[in-house]
Amino acid sequence: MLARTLLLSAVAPGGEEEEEEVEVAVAIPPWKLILAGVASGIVGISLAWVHPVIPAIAAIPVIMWGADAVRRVAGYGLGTGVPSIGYMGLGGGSVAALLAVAMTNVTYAPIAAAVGTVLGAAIGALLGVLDRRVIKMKIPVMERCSTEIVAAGTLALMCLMAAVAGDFTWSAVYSRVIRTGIIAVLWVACALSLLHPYNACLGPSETQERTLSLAAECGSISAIVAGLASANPIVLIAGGIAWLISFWKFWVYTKRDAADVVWTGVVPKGE
Amino acid sequence: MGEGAKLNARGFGLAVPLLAVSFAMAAVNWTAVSKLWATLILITYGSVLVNVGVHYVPVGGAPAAMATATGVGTGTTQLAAGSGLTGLITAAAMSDKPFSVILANGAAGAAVMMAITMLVGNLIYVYGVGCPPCSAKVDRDPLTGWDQEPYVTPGTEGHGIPTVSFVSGIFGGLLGGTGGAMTYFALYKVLGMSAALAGVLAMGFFYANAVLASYNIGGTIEGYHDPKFTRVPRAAACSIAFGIVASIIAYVMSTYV
Amino acid sequence: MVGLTEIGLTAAMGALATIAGAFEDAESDVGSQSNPNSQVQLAPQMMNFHRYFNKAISGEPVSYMMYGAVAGTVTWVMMTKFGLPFLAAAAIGVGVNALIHMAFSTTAHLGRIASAAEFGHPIYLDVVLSHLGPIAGFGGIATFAIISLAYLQWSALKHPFPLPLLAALWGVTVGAIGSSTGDVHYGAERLYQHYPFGGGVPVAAHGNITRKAETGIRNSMDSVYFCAKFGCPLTGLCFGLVVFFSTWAGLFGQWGAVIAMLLVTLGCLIVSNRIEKWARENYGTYEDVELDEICDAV
Repeated sequence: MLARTLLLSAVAPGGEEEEEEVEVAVAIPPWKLILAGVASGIVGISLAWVHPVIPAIAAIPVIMWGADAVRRVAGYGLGTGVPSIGYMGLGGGSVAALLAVAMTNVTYAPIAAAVGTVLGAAIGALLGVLDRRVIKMKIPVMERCSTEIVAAGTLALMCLMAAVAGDFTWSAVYSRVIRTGIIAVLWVACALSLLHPYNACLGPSETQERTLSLAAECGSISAIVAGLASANPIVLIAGGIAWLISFWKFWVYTKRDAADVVWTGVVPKGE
Repeated sequence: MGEGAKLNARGFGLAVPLLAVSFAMAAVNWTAVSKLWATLILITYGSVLVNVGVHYVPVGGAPAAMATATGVGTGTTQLAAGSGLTGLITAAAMSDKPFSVILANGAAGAAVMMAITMLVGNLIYVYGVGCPPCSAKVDRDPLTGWDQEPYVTPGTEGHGIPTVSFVSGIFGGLLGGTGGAMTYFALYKVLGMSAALAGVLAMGFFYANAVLASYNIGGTIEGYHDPKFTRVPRAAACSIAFGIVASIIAYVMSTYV
Repeated sequence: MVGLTEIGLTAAMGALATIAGAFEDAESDVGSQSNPNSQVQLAPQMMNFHRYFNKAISGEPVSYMMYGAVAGTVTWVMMTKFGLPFLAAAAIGVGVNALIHMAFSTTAHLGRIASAAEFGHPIYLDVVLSHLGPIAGFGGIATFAIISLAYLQWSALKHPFPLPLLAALWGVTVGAIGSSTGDVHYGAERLYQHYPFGGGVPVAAHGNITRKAETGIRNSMDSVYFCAKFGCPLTGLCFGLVVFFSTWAGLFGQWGAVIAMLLVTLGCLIVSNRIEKWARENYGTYEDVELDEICDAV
């Protein structure tokens, strides 16, 4: 019976209700973010052996890409809050990322990173298809965004693992990240960085620039966490500088978008 | 057969066999079976257990936090993760013991977390908010046979955790904890990963399954007496598909390490 | 079988967990996190402007997972790389985590209120600054207790998971418990205090949160003063019991703990059923209550 449900629902059309695609206002088109994220992530992981600061900072564009994908899908309303999609991204992403690290035993780091990203995208596509075709969620962009979110989560997690381990090889990552349990903090830092920007800016006056500047701020916090976990002062300082810049950007956009920014006051009456 | 008896038959009839099968599986010596088959069966079945277990957990989402809906006042994924990961901690504490002990500890750890949380939740609904626990989805509690409708505050969809939801929540904990422990055992014993790696992977599988289940539920569910519970087959189909992919990935990973 | 030492250790872990749970709930009330926050978020839409803190950092389980994991990781690094004793390392870990906690709280509040610009809700900077201290303080106490109990379990009870992972997993549990028990007291009672006591909040009243304090305009710090009397201690009790009972695993032979945990589960079911019966008999029905009566603010 289960197999029949799966088969039937895969063949049958989406559902009775009409799905409507919602236009989301964007300042930066998604393809630019995807390109920047994938390129910086894979280059960052490949150059991890030069200095851990490279993958740590390279994680920021990856996280901005993932946060933008969350923004596009969560605008539809997931029924159970924005955060769930972030957990899903990292639930699938951690599996793909760990397989990619294990593959460095048989191949080179850049190839392993690329294969890991593709595998993450495949897991995301699977989860998206299950969500849309079997569970029948009424979100037309679900497959695409789920693919992007899990791929971004995989890539961001691999960047941070490489930053903490100082090299993208199984022996380094296993002894410094996995066996010590530091992977837990990287997992949750990535998950929060993906879901927090849109979740924090939720509301009718949300703008992409503000959300993305917050994503950069969260990415910087992830870099700081990587610096703390490896006790590497250079990563810590680089992350701190990135945090100051991105927080300042976020503050500027907040002042631009907010109705009013005042020190204190009595709340207006309303209607 | 009355309506309540039918609902009970559905709820118990699904949970009890699932648990029985998982404990029957504990009799098999999985480390002697071909690794790929053992991983495939254990992780896929564990995924199904987690995914079905989430449907048993009575959650009211945001409305329940205002006593506007029956169930625990938090999100589906959140509560399932809290109980399932407690089960993972208790199961991992018994890592070197036989399979049946790991399973039982995972199940009992998750169930005790759910039970205490729901009990204290009820204390707050009764003494802090001042409303009796009741369900708005059924006229009578299928287990106790008590009237529900007169006790629902007008304008709300019930509040608190009535007995039937409580029992359903315990089943949810048992199933979720068993599923998490089974995944952990497959990774730790069958594939020979270290405890930390197995724990993190089990957590990742757990979250992906719990989110699939929570999208299927779509916000709130009161337990096995809720009409939404009939959506379980879809979630089970999803978890089988995800479980197969996840177990193959885990197997491939173990061959590289 | 084990001696009294291990049972004493689980009891100590339970005591630490009680502290963690109580302060976790206080922290979520002062920052207005988790599910009740949907009402604070909804209020401007209903033209109810307020001076609450709007701290939406994911749900509580994942945000507490992060606090636990960050503090646990820094503690572990300080202990292994710099050879500090546990308490000193934990103090540094909790301090570092407090900074990250404040950064996330600030961005959450600023982001959400700025996105309510369509309704004309202004950002009050004094609300942000005055609430950050209590948020970091309560969060710090909770985090300290979480990593202490994870440390006890890791070092003394020899749990196979490493310290940062254990701290992260207990963070998920404390967050799940805090958001499902203590937050109900905040969401259903404190946020709607100008409605009559003794019932759920009807959907029609959602968003019309209490905006006046005992004196002046209410802010989120006033909520702690109320919730600390009931919601916070019960949350602490809940997490304490969960930790105490679930760490029995392995202490009484292979099956002793399982039997004990199942007995506790059964006991909870019976007590809950008795409380339900008590409430039904003593509170009565809502049959003669009109919807207008409940939606009519006091």
